[in-house]
Amino acid sequence: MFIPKRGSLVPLFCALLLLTGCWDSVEVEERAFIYGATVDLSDQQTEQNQQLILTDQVVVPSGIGTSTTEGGQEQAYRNISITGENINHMNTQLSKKANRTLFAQHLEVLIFSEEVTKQPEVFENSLDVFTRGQEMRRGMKVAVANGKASALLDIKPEHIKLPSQYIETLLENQRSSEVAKPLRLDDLHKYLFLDFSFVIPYLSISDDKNIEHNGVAVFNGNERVVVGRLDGELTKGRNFLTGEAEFGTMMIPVDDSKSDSKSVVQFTEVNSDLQLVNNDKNNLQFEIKMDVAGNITETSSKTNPFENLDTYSKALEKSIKQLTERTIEQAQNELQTDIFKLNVYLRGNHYKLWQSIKDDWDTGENYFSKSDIDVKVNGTVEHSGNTIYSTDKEQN
Amino acid sequence: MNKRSKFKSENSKASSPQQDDSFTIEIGTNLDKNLTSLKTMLGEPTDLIIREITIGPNQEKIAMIYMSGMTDNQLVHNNILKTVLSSQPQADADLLDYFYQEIIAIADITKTNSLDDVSYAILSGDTAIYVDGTNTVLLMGTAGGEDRAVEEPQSERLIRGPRAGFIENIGTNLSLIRQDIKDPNLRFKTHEIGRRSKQKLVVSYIEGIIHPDLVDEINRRLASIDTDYAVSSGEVEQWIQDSFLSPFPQLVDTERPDRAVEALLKGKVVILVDGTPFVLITPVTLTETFHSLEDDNQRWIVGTSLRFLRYLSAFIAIFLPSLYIAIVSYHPEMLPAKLVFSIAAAREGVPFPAFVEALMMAITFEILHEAGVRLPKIIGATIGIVGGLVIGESAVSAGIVSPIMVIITALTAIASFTAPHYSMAISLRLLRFTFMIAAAFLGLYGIILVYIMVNIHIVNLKSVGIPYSVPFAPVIGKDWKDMIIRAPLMMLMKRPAYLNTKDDTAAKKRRQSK
Repeated sequence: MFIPKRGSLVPLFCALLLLTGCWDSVEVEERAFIYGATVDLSDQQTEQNQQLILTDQVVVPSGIGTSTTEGGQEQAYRNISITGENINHMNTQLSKKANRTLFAQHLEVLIFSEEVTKQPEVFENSLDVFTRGQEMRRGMKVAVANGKASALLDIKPEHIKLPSQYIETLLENQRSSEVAKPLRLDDLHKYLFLDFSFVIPYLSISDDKNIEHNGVAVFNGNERVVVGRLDGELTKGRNFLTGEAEFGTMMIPVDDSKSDSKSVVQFTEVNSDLQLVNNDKNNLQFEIKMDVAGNITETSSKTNPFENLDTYSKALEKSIKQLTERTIEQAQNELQTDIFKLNVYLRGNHYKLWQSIKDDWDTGENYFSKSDIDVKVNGTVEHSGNTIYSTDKEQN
Repeated sequence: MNKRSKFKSENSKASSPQQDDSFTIEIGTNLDKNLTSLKTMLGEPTDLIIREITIGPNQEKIAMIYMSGMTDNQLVHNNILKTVLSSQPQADADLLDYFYQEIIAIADITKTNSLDDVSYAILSGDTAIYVDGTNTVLLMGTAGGEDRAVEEPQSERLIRGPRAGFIENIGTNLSLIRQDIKDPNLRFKTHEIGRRSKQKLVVSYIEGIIHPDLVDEINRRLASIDTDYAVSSGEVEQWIQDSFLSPFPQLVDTERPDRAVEALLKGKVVILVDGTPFVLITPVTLTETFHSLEDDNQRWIVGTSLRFLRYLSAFIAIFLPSLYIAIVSYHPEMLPAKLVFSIAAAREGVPFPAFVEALMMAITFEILHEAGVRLPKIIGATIGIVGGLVIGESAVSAGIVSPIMVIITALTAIASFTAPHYSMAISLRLLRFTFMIAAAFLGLYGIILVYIMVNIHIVNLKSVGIPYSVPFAPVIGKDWKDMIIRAPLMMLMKRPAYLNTKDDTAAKKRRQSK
């Protein structure tokens, strides 16, 4: 082993002081903070390689302004785009267009256009710079955009000056059960390593001031591309099955006979419990037990909820069962991709079984599609809530 | 060589005026000669009052001598002059004894044969009576003169606590301590410091509580002081402190008798110096310099919270500007995105790097503070306005500094003043600059390096031989009850263990029979 002599330690310590130092300092106002980034496919394509467009949204702090001084009419951001084959290369090329040092440690949102995610290898390769880059944070949120992703960065939301900040808060808002939880880059990277399938939040532009966060894109871990998407309704079904639906409402038909008698239930609690029933890998049987509790917020049914809470509960159970079964069918037949985190469950609880089937889980043999998923719903409507019947009762 | 030795001899001559040949040290029996030698010794000052009186059937001459302005005039007039003038001694009486025994109505009266004693007594405000024909002189303790009233100290205010403070007179100060501790074991050991000033310095402690080695060590150090004049206790502090290079005070000063009393009862030494209202307390530890009497005067939850607040303020005072520099110049990723953007927006257009900006503001503040202390009180208020306006408003609107820097400077300044000891507050403000420079060079890494250095220094520092970092290092678990937190009084029955007191019980729970 090398043991330094006492005299040689002095230059070592000097180096310690001199090698780091004030020439590495860049004042905060001289940095260009990238808050959001998007990756699109370029129209011009070479034969071998896909051309990509990287767009960085750089914050202009004076446009944001401080709390006392209004930012004025100045735009608070600046979008810089560049076309190229390799994201890492493009990243350095971007500096040619920016007058300040680009700084990605506050990068919060990363959006891919749907086309990029459907290209084999392109999606994964372009992720490399974000997952492995020294400056990159593991907490940035990843989403897929309908159409051109960079268009999302040009949205002009009314109450917030940075479009990417708007997208970030939009992804975090979980008050609806029709959206997936925000996907952190950290998780995405983990799933890619484990060859897991997963879902990515899906964004689309609704008008020039608003973006809609609705449904999910489905990524197949074995095929390594996005194979399709679920709309809001089916996403809700998926969230019921995984127990992720925390908030939100559901429209349930109360009396089958009348088509207009519907009631809206707001969930207070959703729990799901997943069990593997047998071990035969060609005919796997899963059982998902769900406990759903909710309150009635609105009803047009003639059935009085005070006396007939059971009727409502039954209706709720039935609607959820229908919805979840529809979701399962879509996943197993159309997408042929495990979006219910069964892979996570199997790897955690039945590791040996998982080892034998993981290469053919939702590809090839596709054990996932062959398996049988049995859903049991225990729905409870707890209160009649703010319906007209509650006032009726008070008056009587 | 020759020149040097000559210079040396001159020097030594000047330093000991008593060695002069023009007058004798011994007191003779001739009154006139005695008076002349005394006058020569003191250089015939204008404030020396010599009252010659002829008294008794034998027409004996006596002289009464004192310094005007340094005596208690009423005492001199009523208890000495009047009684002496109205006295009717027997013809064959020994006048000196007669005065000593019967006439003079002052308790503090001594006899001496030494001119040195006489001159020292007169210069201290005592009155001397010479009687013709004897070589003995009567000295009466009449020291008094103008004194300030005992009032609330300016430098250490408490919301809940006594309104008394020490004054310049050491006698009054001793009595202030004596009033609070009526223990016969309270000791006042007098030293004399200042070859020319001959100031009284009193080492005070409670025998039976204090560890004897501590007293011995302090007496040894005090004996080593050799100076003309100790301007104040601050100079004594610098003579006897352990490390003169340290930024931390190893003896703390206080103007409050209650704080001195508390220290005595804990088993510490209090040093009083004549002529200064600041007494010294030693030994101290780092944590104790952040303790205020307020902590003990309030209930323990309040006391503990106040202490937390003070420690937090100390950290703010040391670290805030340097953290700002480090984060703005090196590590913008350490802050939440929105905060970084607002800092960046505020700094947009500021022409200086963060370090220069922070340094400018810190120095401006120090200048303002210094000016505020020096200025007469009437103008003092102007400083507030000018300072507030110049720094706060104009600097920002002129675009020289960012508004955030103003907040940081203000917060740092205010936080540094929460330290209950002013000497500690200054140290903190000084250390802040070191941290700022380190942050400017090396960012957070530099701050951590300097912080480690400061910690190494603290664990090496001692206050009169007692580790400064006690009870953290070495760990004394018992003393943690009164360190960062101030435990309820019921749990603080023992004196601090680190002082190794002879009697370690400060309080006891007394069972009440019903």
